[in-house]
Amino acid sequence: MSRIRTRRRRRPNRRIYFWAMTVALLAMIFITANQRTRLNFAENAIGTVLMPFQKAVTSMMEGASKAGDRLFGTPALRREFEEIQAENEKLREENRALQEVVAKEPYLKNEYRLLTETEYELMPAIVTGKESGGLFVRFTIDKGSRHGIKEGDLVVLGTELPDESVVTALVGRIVSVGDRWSQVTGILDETTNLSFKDVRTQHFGVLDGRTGDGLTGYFFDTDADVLIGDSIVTSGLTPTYPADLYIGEIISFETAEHDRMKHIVLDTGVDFSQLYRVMVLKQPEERP
Amino acid sequence: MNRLRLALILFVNMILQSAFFSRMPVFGAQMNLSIPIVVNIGVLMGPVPGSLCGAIAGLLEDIQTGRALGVRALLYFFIGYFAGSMQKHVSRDDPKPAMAITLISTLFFFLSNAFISRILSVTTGFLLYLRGPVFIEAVLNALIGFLIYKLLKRFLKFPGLYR
Repeated sequence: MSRIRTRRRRRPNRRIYFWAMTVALLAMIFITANQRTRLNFAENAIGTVLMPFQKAVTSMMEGASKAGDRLFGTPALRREFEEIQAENEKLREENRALQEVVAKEPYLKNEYRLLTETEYELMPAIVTGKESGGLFVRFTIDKGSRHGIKEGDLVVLGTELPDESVVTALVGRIVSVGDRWSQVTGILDETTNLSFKDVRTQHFGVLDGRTGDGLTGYFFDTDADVLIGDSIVTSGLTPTYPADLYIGEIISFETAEHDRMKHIVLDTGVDFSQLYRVMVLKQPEERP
Repeated sequence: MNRLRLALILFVNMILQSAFFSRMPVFGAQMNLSIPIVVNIGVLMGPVPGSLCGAIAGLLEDIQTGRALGVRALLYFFIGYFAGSMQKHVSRDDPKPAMAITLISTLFFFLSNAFISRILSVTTGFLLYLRGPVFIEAVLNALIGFLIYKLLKRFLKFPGLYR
């Protein structure tokens, strides 16, 4: 009898509960739809509590998947490996800058100087989680404001090219920061319009779409000289991304009939289906 | 006691989903553990626990990797409520209805998420995923839903339910 009475009382409440929750959640969506940057206390606390567990699971996953093909030495050996890797990346950057000098000497002298004089501050970070879906379009790392990370910092990765050289490849950028963790949106995010330049020809363009784990875009100049295999780097035209970070390599292109624009497809060179460790490239406080 | 256990389930789900299952592609698709968990809680415990757990699970995901808070919370809330409403029409002793609801809910979640993302202009790879992986994901979620059903029946207390 009491059960029947309880049911009768609850039915209208359930309807109110349903609509109240729906309205509350919809309101939450529209209030937070604009970019969230600094996380509030509750969000920050939840992320901070989850982080060590996610890190542990990630480490186990990484260990399992890379056991066969990754060097696991003593801490000293690993340190040495990382130092060599960093040095290799720096040399590759210099090589890239020199290639540009050959392509366009007078214009790039200043840029080369800037590149060699700029000291990127890189901070290693572990990818602790990602949203559902095949690729690392949006994910979290284990570094936050306590480590000096701020919104807009870039996330990069040392990537080996077919010629065995290692370049600093752009992975994404920090979009919101907690105390001990941060959210990253990858360059595969369709909302990320990325301006680029072709290292060989210095023609500019923009990447505005995605195909699988590649990127699509077009050159601004309809007469752009394009070759399959051309390296594409960030243009530096926008303050979001500094110039000359490696984005990928052209794997196909075609000239559109309607606008004569050269549309390209890029292979990013970063395996966005498996990311375990990345590096945060800390942006300078003030950009010239 | 059930509340504490449900909180633990959601916590473990969040860790496994973000750090483990989202990294385990099967034919290009990833399982979404939250959907079968929310569906099973709904079917076994009713619309209010199901939808509340859905909202909390979604909110945790939104906080971690979402662009806007509430998108997944709202969708999991609907899924939990829908599954709970089906409680009267299906047998709680049979895992198959929950598996079928999980399959449908996965497709609903994907399409609705894509729709809301489109409204908020944050679409990512919708068409690419629609071409195949989403159907594989639906089947995977339904299959893991069977295991979750068995685990939940052992882990939670359901008065009057045959174990």
